[in-house]
Amino acid sequence: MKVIVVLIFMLMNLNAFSQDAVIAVGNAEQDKDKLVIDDPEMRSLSGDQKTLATELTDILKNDFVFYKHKFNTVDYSEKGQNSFSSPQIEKWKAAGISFFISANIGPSGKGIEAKYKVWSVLTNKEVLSQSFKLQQDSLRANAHKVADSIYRSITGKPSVFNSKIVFISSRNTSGKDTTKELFVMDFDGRRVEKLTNFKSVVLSPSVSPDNTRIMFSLIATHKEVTREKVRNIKNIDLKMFDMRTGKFSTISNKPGINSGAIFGASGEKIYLTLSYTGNADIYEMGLNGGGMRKITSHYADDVDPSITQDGSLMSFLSNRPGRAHIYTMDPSGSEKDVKRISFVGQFNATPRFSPDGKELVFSSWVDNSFDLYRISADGNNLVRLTKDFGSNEEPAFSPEGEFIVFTSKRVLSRTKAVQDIYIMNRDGEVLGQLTQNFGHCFSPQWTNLPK
Amino acid sequence: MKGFEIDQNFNRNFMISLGIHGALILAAYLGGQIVLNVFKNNDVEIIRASVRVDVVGMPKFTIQELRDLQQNAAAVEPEVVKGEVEPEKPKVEEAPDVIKKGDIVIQEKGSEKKRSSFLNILSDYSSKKVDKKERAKGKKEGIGKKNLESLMVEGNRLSKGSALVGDFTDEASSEFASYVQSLPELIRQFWKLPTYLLDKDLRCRIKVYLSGAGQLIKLEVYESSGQAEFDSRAEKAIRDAAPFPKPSDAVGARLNSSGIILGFPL
Repeated sequence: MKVIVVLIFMLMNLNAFSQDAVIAVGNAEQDKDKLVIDDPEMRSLSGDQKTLATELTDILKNDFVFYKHKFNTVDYSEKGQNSFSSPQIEKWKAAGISFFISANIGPSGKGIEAKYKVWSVLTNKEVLSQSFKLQQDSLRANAHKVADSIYRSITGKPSVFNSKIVFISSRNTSGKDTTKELFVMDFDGRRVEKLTNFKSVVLSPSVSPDNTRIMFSLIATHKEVTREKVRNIKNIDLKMFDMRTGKFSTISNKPGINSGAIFGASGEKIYLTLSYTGNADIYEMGLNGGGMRKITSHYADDVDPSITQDGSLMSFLSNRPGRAHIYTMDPSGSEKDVKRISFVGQFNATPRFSPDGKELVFSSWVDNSFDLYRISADGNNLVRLTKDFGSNEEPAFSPEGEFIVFTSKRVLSRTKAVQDIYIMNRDGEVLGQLTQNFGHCFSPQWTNLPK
Repeated sequence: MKGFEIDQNFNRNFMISLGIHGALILAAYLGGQIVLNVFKNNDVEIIRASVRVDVVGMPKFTIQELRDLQQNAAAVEPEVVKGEVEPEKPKVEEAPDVIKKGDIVIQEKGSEKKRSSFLNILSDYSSKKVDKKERAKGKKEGIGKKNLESLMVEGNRLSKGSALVGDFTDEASSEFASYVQSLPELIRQFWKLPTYLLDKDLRCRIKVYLSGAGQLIKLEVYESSGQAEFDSRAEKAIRDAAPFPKPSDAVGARLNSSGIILGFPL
């Protein structure tokens, strides 16, 4: 008996001794995948057609450079060998290549056809095989589509390549006569199109979840008829542009501000700032301006809502603490679960949610200019993204969350400054300037991923 | 008679009670073991270098700059260990210091001026790749094993001096902790994953045995991530980082016999 008891105690003692401690190594750094976009194999093409094929390859290569935090695009060629008809998997593997994209372009019917293959070298599999008609007028759109399907076949996720950026520009106007109109361009800054011609000032655009409508505010002139005379009154109204019909409609024109409007998760509701009571608050509204509901209710000004894709959390800017700070709340109620998430910064502006709703990007006034910062939705992990790069404002996450588009202002002299749109990845690595010599550009907004 | 009966009863009851108690203790122990094994993951103590960040203003450094600084710090570290810093001071100290700096609003500007000019940053970015290569080269050539050992001896001598002054209270255990805490920093430089594994939120734990000289003796997967490639990449990171700095005799003995568990990432 005693022996057993003693044994038991010995065992217990031993157990107490061998307490395990785990030393955390931390998160891994990303090892970039090597990716090759090979020059296409061309079959009996004319000179013009060859130029078209080369242009296509250049667009693809350029698209993937945006993801340089993920992929290391390298050149690889072997004399006399064609990667499309005779893939050299073993050689690619030896060169450390993870993905190999090869193409074959040749005549088909009246036009030409481009065939694409994506090889996953490590698993020795062809993960994509696709073809499409190559035409001059749809070249860029099609090239971005191909780039997107290549990206999807590799990562399993949608890319940014098919998305567009809606923005506002004061192009060709200046001084007192400055007008600001709405424009749209590809994510890489190409194919710019003008959408409005109000000869007035357009503000804060927002794109509907299905990409069919754009909402924006407009400084409009209303005629006020009183007993003595007729007066012209300027007001910030909320307008809607239907891209399918090309028609404009007015959603809300209450006295004061009707601005900062965004679409709710379903696209059937909108959230915006109204100031008709004399105090700016955030309201919910139907697309026709009906069904109005007050969401924030505080004597301080609450402006600039941003909402997560599932619609469960809304962020806004408020001067409740005396300075502009970022708050979050549940937009389904009034003043429901309001939580302050920013506690530092002299002036914080334009908080915008990441598509997964986990983070916000915003601008903050530091050392006489605005710079961009990122913060977790719970108020932790505040990090700085830009520095010594002009004054940076109005950030917006791309629909797949990897990029941030923003405006950057450079003062050239006492009377001259430029403000253009730039793109960077979510860690603040600036990838390029999207607008140039296009007036002052404002409020870039991304279109959404097609569902 | 009566007394005897009682005695007999008592004896029998005592044996029964002893048996029951023994059985209970055994059951409790076995049950505890099972529970311990089931909740092994929750029970373990996680040691990692804690970085205290008090946010008193907007961060001064960008993510990119902090990364560069951390990489530079990591690359410089082996040299620092060699000569000047006593082994008790974990090299990890360096990093918190750097990070804290960024959080202080008011700061002398002069020293930062050079770094912060936009052109400088741009040129930093463009030369990034070259830097990495150079660092890697520097590391391989700079610390030969012999060289390192002799320098570590010098380091130890220095440490004895400081122990006399004051740091007497935390000896063996904190020495072990600080040695062990210095390892992640060394391993992290080699801890890399391709995108398709990085996104998956995997975790593995590897038990490592080191020799008294800091050489890697044995590796075993203590807890697999379920993905062989993930585990093997974690193992590779440890192999690439080895040999580690020479631990003191007491620390070495403990590393040798019971080993340590490294968590990737936790």
